[in-house]
Amino acid sequence: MDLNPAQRRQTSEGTSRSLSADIMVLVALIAILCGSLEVGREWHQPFHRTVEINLSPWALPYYTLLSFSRGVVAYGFSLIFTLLYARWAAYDRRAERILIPILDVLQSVPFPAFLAPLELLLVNIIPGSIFGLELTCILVIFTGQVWNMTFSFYYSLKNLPQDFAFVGKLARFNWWQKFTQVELPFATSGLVYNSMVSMAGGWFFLTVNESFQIGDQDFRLPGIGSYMAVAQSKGDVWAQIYAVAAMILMIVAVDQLVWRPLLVWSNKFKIEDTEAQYQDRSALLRWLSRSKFAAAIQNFFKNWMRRPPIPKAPISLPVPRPVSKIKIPWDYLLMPLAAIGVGIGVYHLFLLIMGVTLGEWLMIFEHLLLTLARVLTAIFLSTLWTVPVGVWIGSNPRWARFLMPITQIAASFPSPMIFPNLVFLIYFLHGNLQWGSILLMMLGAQWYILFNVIAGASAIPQDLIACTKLTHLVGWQRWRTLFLPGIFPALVTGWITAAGGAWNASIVSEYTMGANNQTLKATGLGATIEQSLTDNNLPMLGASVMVMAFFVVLFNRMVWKRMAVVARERYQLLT
Amino acid sequence: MPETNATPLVELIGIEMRFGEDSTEKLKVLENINLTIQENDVMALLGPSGCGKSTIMRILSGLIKPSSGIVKFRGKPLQGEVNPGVAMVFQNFALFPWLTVRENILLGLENSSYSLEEREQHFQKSIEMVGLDGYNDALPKELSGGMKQRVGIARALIMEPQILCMDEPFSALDVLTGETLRNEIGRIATDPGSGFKSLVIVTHNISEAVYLARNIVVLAAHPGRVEKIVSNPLPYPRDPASPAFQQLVSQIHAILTNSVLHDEPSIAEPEIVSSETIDDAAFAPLPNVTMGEVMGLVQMLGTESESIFALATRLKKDFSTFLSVIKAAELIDLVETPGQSVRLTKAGLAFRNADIKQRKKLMGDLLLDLKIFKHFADRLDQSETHELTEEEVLQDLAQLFPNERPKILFRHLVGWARYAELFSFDTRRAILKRFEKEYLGKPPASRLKGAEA
Repeated sequence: MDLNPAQRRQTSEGTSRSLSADIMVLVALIAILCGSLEVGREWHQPFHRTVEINLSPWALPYYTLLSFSRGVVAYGFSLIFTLLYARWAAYDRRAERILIPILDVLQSVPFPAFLAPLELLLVNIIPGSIFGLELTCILVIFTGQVWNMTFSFYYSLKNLPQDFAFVGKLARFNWWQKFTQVELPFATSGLVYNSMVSMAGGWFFLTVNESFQIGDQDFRLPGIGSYMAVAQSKGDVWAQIYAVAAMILMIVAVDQLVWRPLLVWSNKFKIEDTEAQYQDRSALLRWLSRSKFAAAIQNFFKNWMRRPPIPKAPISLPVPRPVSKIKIPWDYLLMPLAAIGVGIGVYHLFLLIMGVTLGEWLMIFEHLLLTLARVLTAIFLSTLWTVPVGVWIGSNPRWARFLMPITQIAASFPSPMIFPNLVFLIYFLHGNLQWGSILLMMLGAQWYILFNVIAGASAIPQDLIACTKLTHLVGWQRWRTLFLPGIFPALVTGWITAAGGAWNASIVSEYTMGANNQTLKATGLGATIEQSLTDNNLPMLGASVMVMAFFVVLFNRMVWKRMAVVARERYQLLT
Repeated sequence: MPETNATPLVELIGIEMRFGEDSTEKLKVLENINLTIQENDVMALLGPSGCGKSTIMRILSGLIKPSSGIVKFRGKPLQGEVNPGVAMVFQNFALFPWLTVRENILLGLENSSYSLEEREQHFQKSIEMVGLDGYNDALPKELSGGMKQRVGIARALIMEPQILCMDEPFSALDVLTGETLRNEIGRIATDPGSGFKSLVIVTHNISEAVYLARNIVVLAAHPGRVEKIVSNPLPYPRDPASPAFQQLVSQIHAILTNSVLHDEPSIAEPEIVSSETIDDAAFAPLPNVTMGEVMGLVQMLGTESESIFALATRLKKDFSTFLSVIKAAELIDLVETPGQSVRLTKAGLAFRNADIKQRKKLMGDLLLDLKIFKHFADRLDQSETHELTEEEVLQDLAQLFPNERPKILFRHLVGWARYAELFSFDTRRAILKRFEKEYLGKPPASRLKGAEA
């Protein structure tokens, strides 16, 4: 295992951009969504179609495959989006100034909050067909996957060493050659790692995604998520166990058969020549690399990727392109168009929100604070146990090598799948969802903190540990001088990821199915969103989604990003 | 060694150390180390890389536990705890990047019973000793390497340790800074007010050892063991230009040369030589040297003998590293080493005068004379696919050379063989095979015929 996800996970850096730019982007985004929602409502048609889910375990492989293929299709879209968007942002200075803030906001917006409006919209646009549902499902998975991949590729392109770019220029590479020979190899390592994280993030809302209900309408897709949901509502314990097992199996299989080999393979693109302490290993890759068949396929691709370009003309001095006299003033044409679009959206949003009374606004803010308190408590409690455990694992390389993959798999498991079971447990223990939802949030979020802490702790140099021993520091002194500052940058990365996860989870953990199909809810913004969705209360839905999105972006800006800067400047090891 | 009746500060008795490369194979890095450090001693641990000198220091400070043997501090054996009398200066400084210079230094007193005022006095004294006034509030990343190491030294001095351990303290610094700092350590070591009783310094630099130490422990590698303990009676401050100093330096050169090149243990070890061990001995391990360095050496030499020491000085090469290069060249039979000198063999001369193509051919033949290369050439020919996996090669190496790290040997095996166009190693598939020329597209027909003939 390469134990450095803390350094490899890409988040946007610096806080040089203004907050106002972010807010403008956010407003525009919400406005466009709400605007199209309004449009979608015009086309509203009742949707009646129920997919029967077969609870036999023999049907499970098929359902798993369906869910998996949704993830793969979404990943395909993410990859295409990443390659196009990041390249555009990296090479077009003017576009970069807009594209990167947009990306940053999109990354911190709790997208599942938009799930409901989106579903309504797409189902209504493409009525009577399952296609709209599939598309929504894929879109939501896509939004869980794409952002950090795009950031990763963008930063790789921005950090492309000049010399490599020069080599490409001197060898007269065309854009395709430059892309495959220079850019892609340089970015592969980061891209593969972030793809792995992304794929895991995409599963999170699987259950919610595939078995979705608005009011009396039932939008259900066949898949492992809906299988689980049906099994839970029918109280079929065995089917639930099968589903969880199938999910874990899928995650482990994808990890072992796809990501691990890719990760090891991508190591050859690493620029630094030093050998890492923990080498990523993959038995599959070794085996593949020794098989003749695989070699043939590889050769085919290699030749295809590196096929000599059809020479358009014998190599000669580059002829300067004739400069076209008429320049189309794209800026002046596009900007007003965009402005008009955003304007219409904002107008619709305004109309929608007008329906929310002052009392309701106050309630929304009250619920926001409650959910915030839950998110922070969940992070606090997770930190409390993950820091000692993570530091212990991280400073024992043997355990780290063994436990890192397990924590990563635990982090990939979509915890909402088993929320109803846990809720049952919570009530059985005489708890309630007001407190219980914190536990549900932790279930997903804590793993991110844990594996970042492990990575951070295992990066602490042996000499510093020796130094604390020889100066006879004990107990708390050691934690204060060495471990806490040493893991701090990794911890902050973990917090940011975990907080994002917890906000997303609030939507499903504050409002969930209990036993006997009764709905249980806690007081909080996540529950408000779900409730207004069930009640088909669109003004309320719009207002609460907007408030949550705003607040999360604001909180990222004001708290997490600043903390990350402090961590980087003061507590980075290996100066 | 001056004999005293008082209990020695530290004793190492029968220390052995094995590290597990894998769980199956354990590599012996230290064998039967016995050392005694008296009060007011300055001891240098000197030796080629891989002789375990840093490991000895970490064992005596209690940071790691030896596989067997006892460490005694003032007569009392350590039992898993850190040696209470030790402070350490690290090669890479080991400063806490988030603490200021002042905080880093005061860390040494964190757990002492001193009052705040006493701490302040100690702090002032130690920064004065290393010349760090005025840097109190700087963070380590703002300091140059030399300044960082001064902080490291001050942090160790403030603890007033019985034994100050320094692990290659100057080797991460540039030459000038290292020189300055070494002189200051010499001054501090002989200053009775400096606060520590004895100094143990790990180094690979001979004149550094002679400049500082009263006792120089020369170590041999594979497995690490004490070759000889040389006492150094020269009075402080020592003058590196003086004849007595120079004589001691060349004496140590001779010890190292004998130990590395001629494999003559200075202390006779009774060992029954059976025919089997002779056979094994012919399987000489490859020294930790690249082909490029060997080429460089051959380029430097003629058929006239040259003094190894003079050559090393001229090349500004670290002596024990240079010895390994000579050992490698001697193994391949490019040079011979009568006494303390080195000259080209016939093969070496032919090699030096050859062009690049002939060189590769010559080198291929020379390497095949070495048992280790012959062994793998045979193994490759015997194998059905004419390929060996990395794991198979490593297994063989581990069996043939139980005292070496198979992975390092493997790296050099591949490196040498690649140069000689003997074997090639496909890193992606992790497979060793005989070298074959590969062409882009189809090989020209004439060449194919040539290869068949």
